[in-house]
Amino acid sequence: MTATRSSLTALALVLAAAIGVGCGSDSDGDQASSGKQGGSITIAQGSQPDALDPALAYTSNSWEPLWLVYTPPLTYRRAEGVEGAELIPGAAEALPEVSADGKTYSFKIRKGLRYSDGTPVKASDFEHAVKRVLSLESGGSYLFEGIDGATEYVEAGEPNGDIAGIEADDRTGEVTVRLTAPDGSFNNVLATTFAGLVPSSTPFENQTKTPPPGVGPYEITVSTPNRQFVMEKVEGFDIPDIPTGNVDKITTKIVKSASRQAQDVIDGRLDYMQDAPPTDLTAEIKVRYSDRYKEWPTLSSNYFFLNQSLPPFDDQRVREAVNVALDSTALARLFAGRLAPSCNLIPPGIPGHAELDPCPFGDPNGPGDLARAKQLVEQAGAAGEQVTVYANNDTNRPQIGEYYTALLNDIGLDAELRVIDGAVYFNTIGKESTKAQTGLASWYADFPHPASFMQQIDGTTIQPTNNTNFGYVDDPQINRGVAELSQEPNATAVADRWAELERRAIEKSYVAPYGSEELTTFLSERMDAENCSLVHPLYGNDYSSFCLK
Amino acid sequence: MGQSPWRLALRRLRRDRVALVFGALFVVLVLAALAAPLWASAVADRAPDRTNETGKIEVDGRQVDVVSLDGVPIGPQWRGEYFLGADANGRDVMVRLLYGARNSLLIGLAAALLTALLATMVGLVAGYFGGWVDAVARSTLDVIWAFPVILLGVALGTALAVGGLRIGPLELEAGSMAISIVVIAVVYVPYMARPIRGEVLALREREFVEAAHAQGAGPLRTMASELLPNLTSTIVVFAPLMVANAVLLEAALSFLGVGVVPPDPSWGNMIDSGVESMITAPHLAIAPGLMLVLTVLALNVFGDGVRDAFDPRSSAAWGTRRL
Repeated sequence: MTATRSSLTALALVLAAAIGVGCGSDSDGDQASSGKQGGSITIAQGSQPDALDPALAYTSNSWEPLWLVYTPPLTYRRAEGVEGAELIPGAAEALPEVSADGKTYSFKIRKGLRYSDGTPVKASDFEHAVKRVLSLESGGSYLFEGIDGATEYVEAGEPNGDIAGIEADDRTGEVTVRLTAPDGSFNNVLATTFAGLVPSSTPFENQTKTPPPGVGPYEITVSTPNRQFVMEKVEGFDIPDIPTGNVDKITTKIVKSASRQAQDVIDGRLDYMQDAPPTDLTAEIKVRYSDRYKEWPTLSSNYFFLNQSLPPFDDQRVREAVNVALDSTALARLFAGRLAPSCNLIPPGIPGHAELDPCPFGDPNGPGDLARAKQLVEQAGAAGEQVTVYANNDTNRPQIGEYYTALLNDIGLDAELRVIDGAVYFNTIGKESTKAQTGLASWYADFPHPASFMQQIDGTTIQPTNNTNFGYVDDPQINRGVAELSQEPNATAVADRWAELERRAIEKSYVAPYGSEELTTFLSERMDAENCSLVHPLYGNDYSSFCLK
Repeated sequence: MGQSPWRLALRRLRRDRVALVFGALFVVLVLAALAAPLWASAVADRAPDRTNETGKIEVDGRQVDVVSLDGVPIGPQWRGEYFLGADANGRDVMVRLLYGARNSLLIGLAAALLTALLATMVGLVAGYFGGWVDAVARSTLDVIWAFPVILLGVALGTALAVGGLRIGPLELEAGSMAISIVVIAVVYVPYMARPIRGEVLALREREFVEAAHAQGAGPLRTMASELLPNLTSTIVVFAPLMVANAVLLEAALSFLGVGVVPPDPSWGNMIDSGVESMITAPHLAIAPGLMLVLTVLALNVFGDGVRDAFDPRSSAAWGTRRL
């Protein structure tokens, strides 16, 4: 526990440089309680969240709302910038006690805690939540595989079986989690939405259509996939440092067109849009509605995954060719200027980020070297090889896919584009049978730790479905490095070693990163943008902070 | 001595100036589509999928970004290069418009041809044999007819968009234009097969069919040599309208992301990518939209002329169902 705090102090300094830009937050980080209470708002997302089930949800579309519905044992302070990265107790009474060997975490579930439907919370519900993540082969499974007995539980294929490393006492509320090896980021894992508590009666199935009750300031009362879902305030919710929310009801509509979303926010038919406004309206919005529009940096990395288990990207020269040819300045235009070009996988603000200067394959702010890239493809004997590029249909993603497809054709490959609906994109490319060769990926930090990014290229995280190692990178040196460094309780103390590991990944061209994206907040006129708009560094816009004027 | 129905129809069509003007407009559109590579190489000097996000061009003596730093593409330049401006990826809209015409018209024509082929076969067989064959065919057509065209097209297009289509030796790759052609052809079959079937039901009772039977002609020969020639005018009348409907449905499917797959251009996917930029770059959606309107209008007006020419009394009888 002490180690975590010292790590956090150092982490705060790192975060401050990148995201501690203030964004107008209160110094006490508890803005939500000061807003006007009551009322209903309608907001929009561009595509249906991948799941409205804490065990399966793994995109920003789902984590942003579910953060308010399923409180895990630990959570983050509701604040912007560096303060928002501070771990605080959620469903647990206090931060866990960690054994001297770093393998055992003990915490106690708060007394008298109840789900939104009134069911008392039990300590064993935590084990049930973890079992659901593992048995449903969630994208977050790898986060819990370090628990003693987790692998055996998965192999046994019995959802109701036991995970030996989790002991829960419903009488006292005590939970003990035993790991097979120390994991310096395990407190952060206990703060992910995956660890959000659900009743033990929750079935081992995707519950998106009927989201289970949770512990949080809001509950999902209506879920009509691809149309809308409704979150309503839970009366009596009371966990210290977690705001109870201001508005009574939040209706999230799925509105494909970013133009329509923006126009509806301007006209007052929508109160907030999760997507960035389209390029078309951004200039006008920046000028005319500057009091309720802001852009903010994210702890994210945008990259093209290159499946090294399939030709032609099983050849390092072809992967290098992609990196050599990439022109981040062209991509920045497709992001309407909201992209900070970089060749790093670990973004600024995360320990272990060390700007690669010079980048191994050329200046990220300069044009790519197409001639050299073409030469590399020819040397690899891959000229004319067929490649399918995967992209989703969220704002600007098809255009990025078209840029990338044209680029691959320019360097001598025979590429075609396949655009998949945003709601199922990551499930599709994360399915082994899809055999996705390459495509778009954007990764937002699950927690402020380098492991959150490096695990995307850690071979031990590969799984047949919901795989998040999209490029099937399986480099023993990186696997060993991630395993070893993850054990360190203080990520900042080994930041240079994380940076070394990242450099190896970039030099081997396991991925083709091109920068970090800035996101936006655009609110309607009736929203109190000045006092009630909190952007959390990990979860984005905090809906519980929203309030009406 | 009387003139053949074909000559009579041609004479009537020649007198219908409006239909001829719109027929000529369609020919011009087809020629423009055919000339796409010429425009791309000799005038614009850009391939349709050639991206140019960071490029610059000279405008009034100064260098201007093809796509500005905040992502807004350059508008129409009214000269060879970027005649109709650029899209978000810095591609030449005019070049893509012409290549899009090739794809849209190719799919429209091929789908209409396939619809005619399938509908004629189904209509002939169902009408000629009657009984349970007719009942099965009619029920199948009714089921397809029951779905709104766009809904069925999108459903089929989505289902085939990832895995493609494999029926015995027939294999269509996912994302290929052949998928769009098949989908469009299938959803329109009932609209043509039902009137053909009705006509066959009437024709099979006629004396010349009985005479063919009396001379020992089998079903296949009777259908091919006696019935089919009498259906030609019906098929010809339907053809332009079917092409128009197919072009329109192709645009709808591409707009919804289940037709022509970008970066290959089609009017539908060009409108889709342009519709988000109606304020700063309206040319992106207006240009392909205008081409689509002109094509469908030309085919519809010309189709009406053909219909009137073949049967001036029954213009109402051919009325198409609201789609």
